[in-house]
Amino acid sequence: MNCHTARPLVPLYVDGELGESQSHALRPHLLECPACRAVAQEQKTLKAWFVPSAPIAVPEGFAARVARRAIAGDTGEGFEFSSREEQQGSVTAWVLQAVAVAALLLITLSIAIRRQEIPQSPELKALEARSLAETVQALDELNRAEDAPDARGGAREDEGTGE
Amino acid sequence: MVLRMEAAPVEDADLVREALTGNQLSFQLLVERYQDRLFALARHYTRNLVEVEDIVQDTFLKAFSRLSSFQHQSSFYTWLYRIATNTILDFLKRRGRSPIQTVEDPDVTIGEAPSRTVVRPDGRLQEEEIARITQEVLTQMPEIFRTVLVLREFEGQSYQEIAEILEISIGTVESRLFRARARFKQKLLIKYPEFAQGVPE
Repeated sequence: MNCHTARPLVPLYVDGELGESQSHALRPHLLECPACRAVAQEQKTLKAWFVPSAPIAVPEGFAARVARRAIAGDTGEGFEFSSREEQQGSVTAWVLQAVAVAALLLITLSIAIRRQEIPQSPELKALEARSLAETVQALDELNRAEDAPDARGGAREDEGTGE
Repeated sequence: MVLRMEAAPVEDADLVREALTGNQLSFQLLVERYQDRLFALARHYTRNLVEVEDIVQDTFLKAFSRLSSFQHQSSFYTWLYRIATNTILDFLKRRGRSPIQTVEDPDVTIGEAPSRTVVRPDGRLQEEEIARITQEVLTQMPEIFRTVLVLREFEGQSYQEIAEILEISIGTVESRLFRARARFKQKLLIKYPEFAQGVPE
């Protein structure tokens, strides 16, 4: 085996992914070739950086909670990851929605109050609709009605003086 | 003489079948079986424990909703890891880190100087410090390289398993791992040149 053939096999050899027959063929070359041996050494050394970190404590009851949600039909598809940016965004959206609803309520309320202040009775509308002639006629009728008791009183006086 | 009768461990496939009938406890057992590994996997992508929990929970919920599509052709955990890596990539996308990076890596030329230099952690470094440096370098790497390194070096997955999880060929796993290691070493050397050591030829 020469370096050209051996070099691509070295990472697989270090990872234990090389079949026995190929490993058997590679070993003598690694023993006699310092350059390929250096590559193998470098690969092995690099692995020293990947130390397992301390395990995370899984929250108590996590499995039961997840299984309950899964059975209840939660598919996790519509799930939003609770990143800080998204949380801030959702708060802003909530505030904007609240402001919009409050503004709508205010407008509705002011319209309702205004409507209440406008006179709505049919009589008043009729008076407003009267023409000048009709007003004069109404006043005449009013005057005549006022004169009528005087006339009746005058007759009684006449009757009294006649005695 | 006391004879101990231990119950035979229930196979994943049996738990999957029972979970498919709506058995909550069976699915809970599957979650308990793999939750530690998924929490460890997710932590390579975010240090925020709330986000780690979100990712793992989302992975299991998706897994349950797609359980009927599990064909038993690969192992359950390989299938679960596939969902987990996709969930993580989705999470990274939402955070603004695009997982789609070029497979061809112009920064790394195969067979260049890295093979002449060994980057060894200083013997005085504590394991926590080594883990911190590694995490720092991994965070700067494109996701496709980061993921193969995490699956291989931390999770101890075989090339075949990585190929199944990422749905790529074994040849692609080999080349991606090679490039990922070269990139990792390169970034490590730039950031911490004090760890470089020459290798006698």
